[in-house]
Amino acid sequence: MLLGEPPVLSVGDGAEKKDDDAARPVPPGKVDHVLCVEDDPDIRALVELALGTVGGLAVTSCASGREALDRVAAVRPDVVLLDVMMPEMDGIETFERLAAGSETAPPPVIFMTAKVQPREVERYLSLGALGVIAKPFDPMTLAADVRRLCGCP
Amino acid sequence: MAQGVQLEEIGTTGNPCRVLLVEDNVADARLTRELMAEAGDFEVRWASRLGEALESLRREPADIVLLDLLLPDGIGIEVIERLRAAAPETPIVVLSGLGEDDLALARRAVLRGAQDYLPKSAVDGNLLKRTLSTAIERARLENALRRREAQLEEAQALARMGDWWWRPGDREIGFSAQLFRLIGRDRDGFTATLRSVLRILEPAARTQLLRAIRDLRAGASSRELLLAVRPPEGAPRFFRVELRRQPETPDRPGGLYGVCQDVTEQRLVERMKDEFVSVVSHELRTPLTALLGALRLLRGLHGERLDEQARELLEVAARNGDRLKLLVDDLLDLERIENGGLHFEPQPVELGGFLRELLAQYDSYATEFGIELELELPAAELSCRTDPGRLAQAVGNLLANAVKFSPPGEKVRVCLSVADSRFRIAVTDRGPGVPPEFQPRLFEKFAQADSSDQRRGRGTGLGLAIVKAIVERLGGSCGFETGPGRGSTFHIELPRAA
Repeated sequence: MLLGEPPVLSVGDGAEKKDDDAARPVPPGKVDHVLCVEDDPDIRALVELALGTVGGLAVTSCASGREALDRVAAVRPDVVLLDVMMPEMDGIETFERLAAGSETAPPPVIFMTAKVQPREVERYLSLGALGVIAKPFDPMTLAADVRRLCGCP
Repeated sequence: MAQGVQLEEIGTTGNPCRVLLVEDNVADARLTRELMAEAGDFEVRWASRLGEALESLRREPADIVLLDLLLPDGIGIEVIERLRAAAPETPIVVLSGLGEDDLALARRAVLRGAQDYLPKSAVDGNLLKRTLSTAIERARLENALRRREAQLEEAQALARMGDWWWRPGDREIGFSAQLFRLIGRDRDGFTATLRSVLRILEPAARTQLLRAIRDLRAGASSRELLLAVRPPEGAPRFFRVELRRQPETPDRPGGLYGVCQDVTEQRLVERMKDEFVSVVSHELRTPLTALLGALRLLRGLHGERLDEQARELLEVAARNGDRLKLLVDDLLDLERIENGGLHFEPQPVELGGFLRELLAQYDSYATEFGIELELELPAAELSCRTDPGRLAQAVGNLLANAVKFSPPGEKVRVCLSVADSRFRIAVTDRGPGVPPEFQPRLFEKFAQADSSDQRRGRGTGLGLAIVKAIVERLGGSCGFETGPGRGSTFHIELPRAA
């Protein structure tokens, strides 16, 4: 498709018919600190530039789901930007463990993935993700996209 | 050989029939030769012993052998077998005595490969001639049938295919030799009753097969199944099984028949292809994400500081990176649509609003090419059940093409109409039209009229193939009208009640 589908899908998009409001996460309303979980070092570097240099946000990067689980309590991010296809522990498992292992409310999660078939997106949202950002993403607008999904004014 | 001799022509002048007479009784031999001379144009050569006859056949073939079964160097069925071994396709007519034992032996000879028999003392010229003619014709048909059967078996082996038949009242199901081989069972060790067939199937396959048989007996004409069969050892193998019902007629009982094909390897290849596509998807997109992201950041953060030439080069890299991304997306889409991997979710769609929204999305793209988009809607609202995302992709591809091929300053018109039981979305451009030689391939993959299109149009050569694949999955059809210089109209038709 030439123009493509919108790269950012928020919770509301395409999921309005679902009525399980209980699983719906609440957008934090503010973003200062993002935890990025991504196994590809080049893409990690891009995300850091896009959110930090372009977007003015604090970014902590993790190279695996395991590392993210170890560090999330100390980092206390406002939102987690989570890759789906990762070796060993994939994004879905990381997401589920984040939710299960947290004593306080777990941080909201935005999946960042090339797997954005309507069905796949629906699955991420029904799991309780805040939103989905499609890869390839535009680093010049990534911070704005994250802010929008987090419900920032 | 026999093939050249036609039934009605045997023994006529100018078309002599070469007969080898094998007879140890000199008087009988003379009598037979006299009869033949009367009956027509026969070239008779005579052998008094089996050894002599075999030697004669080696030297020169005969159209037919006329044979006494009681020879000094060979007696009975053995004679037939040795002759068959020496000349497997030459017809044999047995000359027999009139006694009960003689006739019984002659009949046995026919069962073992002779084409016919003649009681010696009851023979006249006409009977002899007619018997030889039918024997030659019968051998010709038998030989042809044997050759076809051998070819069929070879073809089945090559296709990993077998056939089966089940006549009413039969306990055993008929299996072709190749089918026994495919299921890894020996013809002698495996009796193909329904019960034993069910026993070698996986449990789910048993239910499937029984249901299909029940359906056919209830009047269905055919069924096709994919059954998992347990080989004597190793993992289950998968068979595509076709079942057909033979309609009953007064002279022929009904029954079931069909073919089976071992598709285990095909299934494996398909699964590997799916995995391959998924892996390629990820492996291509990851570096593309990094590449495109880096280029955009370079432009966004440092573009100001670059000189014009560097900025131009950056644009070249970014534009081609985008093209690569489109190509990967299109290839994966097409693969998924064609192989049913893409999920379609039909829902009620009001087509007027749908098109208005779609045109708005493409507005800036059209402006870039200096094209104006125009929408023509009928007075009434038209709604249909379809997948809006996929339909948008199909119509979007048509729009993008129309914009791309129209000269700047022109309009591209999108028209929604309804005819009979179908909705029609037509996209009309003012482009050069589709060259006639290119029209038949238009909806094929990578079909572009000439290679310069690619540079000009940012196309992947997959757009129309995707349109066709999507529209067919949506139960509709697509087509076009075009003329040189008149532009083209591409349309999508969707069933009204889908």
